[in-house]
Amino acid sequence: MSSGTIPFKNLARKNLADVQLRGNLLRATQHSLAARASAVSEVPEWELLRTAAHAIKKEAVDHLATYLEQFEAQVQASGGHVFWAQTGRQAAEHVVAICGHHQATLAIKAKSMTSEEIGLNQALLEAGIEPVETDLGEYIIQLAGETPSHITAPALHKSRAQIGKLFQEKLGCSYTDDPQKLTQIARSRLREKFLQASVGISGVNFAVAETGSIVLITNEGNGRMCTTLPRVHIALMGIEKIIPTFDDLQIFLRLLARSSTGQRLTSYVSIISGPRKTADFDGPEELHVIILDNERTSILAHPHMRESLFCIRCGACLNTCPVYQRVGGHAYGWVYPGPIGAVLTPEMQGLTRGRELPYASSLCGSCSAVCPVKINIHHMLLWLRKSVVDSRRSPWTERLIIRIFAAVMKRPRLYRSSARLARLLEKLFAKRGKGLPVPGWSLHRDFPPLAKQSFHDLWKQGGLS
Amino acid sequence: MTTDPALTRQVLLARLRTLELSASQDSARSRQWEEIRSSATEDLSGPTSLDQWVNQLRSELQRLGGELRTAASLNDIPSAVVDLARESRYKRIALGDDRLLEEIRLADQLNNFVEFRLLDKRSASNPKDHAGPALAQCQLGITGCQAIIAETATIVLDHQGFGGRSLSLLPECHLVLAQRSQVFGRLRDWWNATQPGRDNLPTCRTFITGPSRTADIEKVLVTGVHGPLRLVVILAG
Ligand code: SF4
Repeated sequence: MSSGTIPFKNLARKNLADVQLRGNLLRATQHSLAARASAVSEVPEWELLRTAAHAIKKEAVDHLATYLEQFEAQVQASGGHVFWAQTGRQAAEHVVAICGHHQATLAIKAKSMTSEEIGLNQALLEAGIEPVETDLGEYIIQLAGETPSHITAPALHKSRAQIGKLFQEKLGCSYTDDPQKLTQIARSRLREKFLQASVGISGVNFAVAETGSIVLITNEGNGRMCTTLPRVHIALMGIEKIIPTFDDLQIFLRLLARSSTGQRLTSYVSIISGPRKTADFDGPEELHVIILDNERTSILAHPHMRESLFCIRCGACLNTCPVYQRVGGHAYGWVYPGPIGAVLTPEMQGLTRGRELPYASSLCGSCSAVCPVKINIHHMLLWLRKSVVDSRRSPWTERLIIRIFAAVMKRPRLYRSSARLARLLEKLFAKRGKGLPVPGWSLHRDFPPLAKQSFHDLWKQGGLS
Repeated sequence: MTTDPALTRQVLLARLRTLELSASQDSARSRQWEEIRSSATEDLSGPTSLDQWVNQLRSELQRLGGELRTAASLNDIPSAVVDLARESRYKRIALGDDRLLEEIRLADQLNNFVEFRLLDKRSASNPKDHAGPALAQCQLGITGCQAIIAETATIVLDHQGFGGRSLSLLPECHLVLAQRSQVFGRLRDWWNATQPGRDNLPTCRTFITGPSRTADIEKVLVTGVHGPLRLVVILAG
């Protein structure tokens, strides 16, 4: 579920030195970015849709109790069950209990970041239930015993050769690095599981309050399998997945696929409203929806951070982030990587855990610019940096330097003499045309060189004509 | 730690209620919706006639790895189906429960050919036995549809009656039969025309856009993952 407490710096350094990984990352993110750009350019009303999506999510997140209760009533009216979980553990225990009730030894899973978040697979294994990931990317990383490195493309850090070797080793098939053949191998292996399992577990992309529908968006068809063939369907959703009306769904359908994979629409959008009715030929007889808090209410309580709950997990901010592109998802140490992960992890796992992540950003703002729900991601990173500083968790050297800086800035004479001193030091120690070397800091960037003369001196000489 | 679910629900809802913003209910959201609705009427770019939309449908479906075939009229559909099945050597064919399939008496027509083994609501005493394994044995699954959205080549399919959700999912090829009158331009055109949230929703409705696909290995596009490897639409009229 996590890389424990290894600092971001160390994980990042290790990944930066991994040439293969950097190649894999760069290829994948550039590919997604190009696809997104072309898909977005086809939509003249793109900005309008983003603004609307933001407004819809704001309405929903600002009135969660109202809409969740409405949703619950609708699900129940259609014959489904609703379970509220405050912690990830409660949610996982409930899933295990449902499996136990049906004597299930096998559970097939569609990709769900929320299930990663609560460590569901581990809980199932401990209860003697075999969880099988069915999304190809998730299947690959489950075989490898790893965690996803991207929220929509979990195995993006792996090359085809690495996957070929993995399949050869774990599945006993002959080596191939042809994506088509590898996919066919996974298809036939998983077909058996689909037809055997009595429990299917999925996430939820959108939950419609008005109709009690859960909406699931997948490309491979595994999401449809998991919610069609087993007798029991368990859907796991964070409280923030709710949208008020069925009409609102249209806006998100127009935004999500283009942002995420650059498709005009994802292959399958399933809108599920309750368990099988008597007139239905197939589909699960039981539908359980688990509504999960898991620290989301603490985010809600923080006015500057509320917006992070608008996230529809498209992954665009990851692809566009210059930091993510280089260090990859695993460096972030928890299930949600990239810019939005750098916001969510400190909020959900605490500042001790995520203290470094708000700094894992150049604050270039590219994440906010691509976000389909217009979340001001980089501003939130700035707010988090502020709370790191306020809680005195920043390094003491940094605090000391800032203090000295503040003292100097407040005293004009001291400022002028310090500037003169700095110019002198620059002459003595800096390389030609470069700024002063600052230990540690200027290892990866240059301190800007000072101007030959200060504005103040020029002004006095009248040389500003 | 075992907690009473009803209590957890109460506690969580109470907390959520204290965190609700009482600010003007829903004004920003409705304002945005107004703007979107009015902008939609201004946007006149793109195809305008049904013929143009059908062309768009054809090229988009092709781009996605699917295929559009046409039949001059409803009565010509069965022979188009036979052609498809023969050229692909599909022997086991599952027929969905759909008005259009009834209308053209597709089951009877296909039964004239000894080479085909049909699975439909009449071919079994207890149709529900066919869910899963039996349908997975079929190479071709034939359904109608509610509508087709041309811009994105999206098929709107409500899963009702025989075959349900699995018939369009398990066989290696999914064949959709439709009439030209079922083709809409954009997603919003279909949405505006049918008001899909207002009526009673079926237990499951799927928007199908192309055959199943993945790009999970090095972003290389592969069609045919867990769902159908092929998607064919026969459009009549
Ligand atoms: S924060 Fe925005 S861009 Fe990033 S994953 Fe969420 S919705 Fe997508």
